[in-house]
Amino acid sequence: MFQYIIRRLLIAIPVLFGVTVFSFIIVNLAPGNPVEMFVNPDTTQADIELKKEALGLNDPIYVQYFRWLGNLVQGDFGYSFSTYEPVLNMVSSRIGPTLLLMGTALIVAYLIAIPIGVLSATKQYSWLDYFSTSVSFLGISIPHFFLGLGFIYIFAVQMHSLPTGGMNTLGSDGGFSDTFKHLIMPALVLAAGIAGRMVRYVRSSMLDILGQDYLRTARSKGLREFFVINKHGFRNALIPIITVIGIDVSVLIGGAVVTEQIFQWPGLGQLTIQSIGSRDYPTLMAINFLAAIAVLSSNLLADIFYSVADPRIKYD
Amino acid sequence: MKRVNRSISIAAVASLLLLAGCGGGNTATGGTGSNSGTATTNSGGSSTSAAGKTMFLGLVNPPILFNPINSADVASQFVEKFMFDSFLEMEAPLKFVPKLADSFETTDNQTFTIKINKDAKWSDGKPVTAEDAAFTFNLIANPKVEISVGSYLSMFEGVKDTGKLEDGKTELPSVKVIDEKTLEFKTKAPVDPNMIKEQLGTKLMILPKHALEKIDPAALSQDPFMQKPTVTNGPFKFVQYKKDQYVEFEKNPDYYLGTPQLGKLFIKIMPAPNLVAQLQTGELQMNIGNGIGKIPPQDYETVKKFENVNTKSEAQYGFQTMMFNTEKITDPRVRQAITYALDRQQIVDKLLRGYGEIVDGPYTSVSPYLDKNLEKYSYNVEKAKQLLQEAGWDFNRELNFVVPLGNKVREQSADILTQNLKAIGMKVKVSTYDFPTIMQKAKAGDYELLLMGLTFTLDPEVSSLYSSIGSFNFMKYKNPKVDELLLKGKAEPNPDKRKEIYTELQAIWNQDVPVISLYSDSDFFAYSKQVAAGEPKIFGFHNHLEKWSMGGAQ
Repeated sequence: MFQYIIRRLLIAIPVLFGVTVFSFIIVNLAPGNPVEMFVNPDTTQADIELKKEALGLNDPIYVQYFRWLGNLVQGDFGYSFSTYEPVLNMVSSRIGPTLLLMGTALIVAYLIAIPIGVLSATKQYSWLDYFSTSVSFLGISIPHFFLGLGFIYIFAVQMHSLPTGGMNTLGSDGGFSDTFKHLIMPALVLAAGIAGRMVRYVRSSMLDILGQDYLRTARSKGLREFFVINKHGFRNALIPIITVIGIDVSVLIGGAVVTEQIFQWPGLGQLTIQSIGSRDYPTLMAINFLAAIAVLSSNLLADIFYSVADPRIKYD
Repeated sequence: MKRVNRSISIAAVASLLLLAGCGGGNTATGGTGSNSGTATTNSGGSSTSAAGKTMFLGLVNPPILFNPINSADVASQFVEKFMFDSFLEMEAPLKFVPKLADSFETTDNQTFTIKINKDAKWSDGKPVTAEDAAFTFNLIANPKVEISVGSYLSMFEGVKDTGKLEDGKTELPSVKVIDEKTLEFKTKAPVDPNMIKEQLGTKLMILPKHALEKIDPAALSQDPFMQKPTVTNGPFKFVQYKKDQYVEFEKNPDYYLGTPQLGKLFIKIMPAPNLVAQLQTGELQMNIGNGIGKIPPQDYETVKKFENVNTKSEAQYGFQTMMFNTEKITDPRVRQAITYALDRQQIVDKLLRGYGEIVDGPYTSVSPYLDKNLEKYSYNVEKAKQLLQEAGWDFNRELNFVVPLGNKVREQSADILTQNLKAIGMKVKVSTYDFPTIMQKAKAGDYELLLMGLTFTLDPEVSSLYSSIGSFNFMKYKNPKVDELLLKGKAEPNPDKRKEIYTELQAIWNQDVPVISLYSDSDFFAYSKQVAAGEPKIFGFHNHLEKWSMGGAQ
């Protein structure tokens, strides 16, 4: 197992390298360039040329890439083309809020979705089943921005019970309960989509298992239904669910972009949107790099959890 | 059968939600008024303390950085002015009042003398001197320093046409420090003082020499000072910028125009719909307007009904245009025909809900240089068709109509404009892009029709748009007569004579129509009734910020 993990980590290096090459090309292929965002009627052509030169945009793309890679190897992500701030500072200050938001959303989603999915499957075609599948369908199909604005309207504007956005009350020192209050709406919006999808996976996965012979055997041994479902049934239903969790990470990154935008949550998603808008190559590269690492490691974790869930799965 | 059941339940849930949504909408206007009084206290927005009260302002576009000589975006320039003072303020069109400068004068329209307020000092106690101003001018002209305000100094004596000094030089020969508080500079030729006063006077903010002189000019942009200014001279001191969330200021107790009334001031950054919601909940006391913190036109009527805020709308000098690639649509009659075909009144009535004006040419009604007698292009389909016939227009030709994303009203206006063009039989293909792509397409001339918003100075100098070498001349418009008149207008020191020149120019542009001004939308402001002094406005927003205050018990 340990060897397997090491091997996977070693394979990750060329994969990451490939990702950086591709994303560098794609980022540079996007029409327009960072300097064009500096143009206003007060800016002269000379100002623009000077910036291009200073940012190294006049060099061929491969020179720019290797300069970027060379710095990266030394732990230097460069500085932002629009704010002139070190990219590492910008990105690292955003990781915490994003992890908090995504983590909370994932936990909330699974806490809601797994029991409902299991119940929905065991009570197939009951009103509860119809209700939960309908609501989960809604969760999947409702756009984040719509749900987000709806929440703001109900909970902030009408009920005055939650803040409309941000991560802390301005002028206060914040603190756990303050952040928690700010976290509720964005986390629920983000959780809605994940939970909706998860209910359906858990339900269908459980339905598969429920028809299997070994459950009938377990029942005929006289085991209580609760144990039949949760010990024998659910454990086996976990395998496909773990796969989905692995994939969810990348879906979550996409959803977080929109949600962070609506609620002014100061995370990576918001930074991504702005960096794209200003063609801030170094910041985009750093975000891509991090996202690649996140996806690779969540896949690895999923593989490790397979063997935990099902001891028959072995890695050599 | 099962499938039918499921879709029924989905439909039921969906309609329930819709009903809930409608119900909420009906009570919205009635319910908010009674809540608004308590809203501010429980939302934690405002706080009262010994240090003074706090105000929260709403902004839509996030500021990028706080480098007064290298910020190209309006939001950064706007936020900088809370902590850095300009020499002058423009309170109303071309009405300049002193700020950091007690006086800003010239006797020959070529040599200018600035006297800096004798009490003005930096937040670390050092006086603001003529040396600081000279230091800033020299940095702008330094060929190694990255800047975005090059045009302010381009008319100074001793700089190249690019606005920069020769390589290797670091000091402007035409800038002289007379004494600690007096600075003199000279332009290449006599110019209209209003032009200098607007650019150098109201837009430029000077940097503290003693804090920055040891930094390598080539690395100035990356210096941490430009993200977190530590030494400033404005009414407020910079505390922190939580990127894209809020900028926090505290009062500068030693401010030379008087200690500010407010203890703290926050500029919060949020999407426009949230701006409306937070005005309603009392989490904001004011929106900033000025194109960067605007209430969406479709929401303005709603905001007007909020009982906790005052509202107003003001005309501004920014405007939206449709540009023609004159290398592809060469016949001015075709461009005139298109102008006649566009129902601009419908855009103002429907999209702007009446809050805006139709403008012909680059000057809006707030500009003293607008020629009010200029013949207007009214909506006239017949005339448009007739002009196209005369010009022998090929009706099978498809025009590439390029629309930038980001401004909702402009995106919607593209639909109306497209319909208008189809109504006279033209074929149009609309493509939308984000802003950097638009800039690339515009520069490359990869379009036939292009929408773009423009904001110039109030000064009529618009060479960047109409001059054949202008950086905004995406129309590839070349008219030697226009080039000549533009140079003449820029060089003419007498405002009355300038007005004649720009009147002549407006007549030419009206004939040639390289670009049509579509509309100028009013700006919308809302500010809390708790605000005792201070309000958002187009002109002189930053004037007397030290007097701003919140009223009564909160």
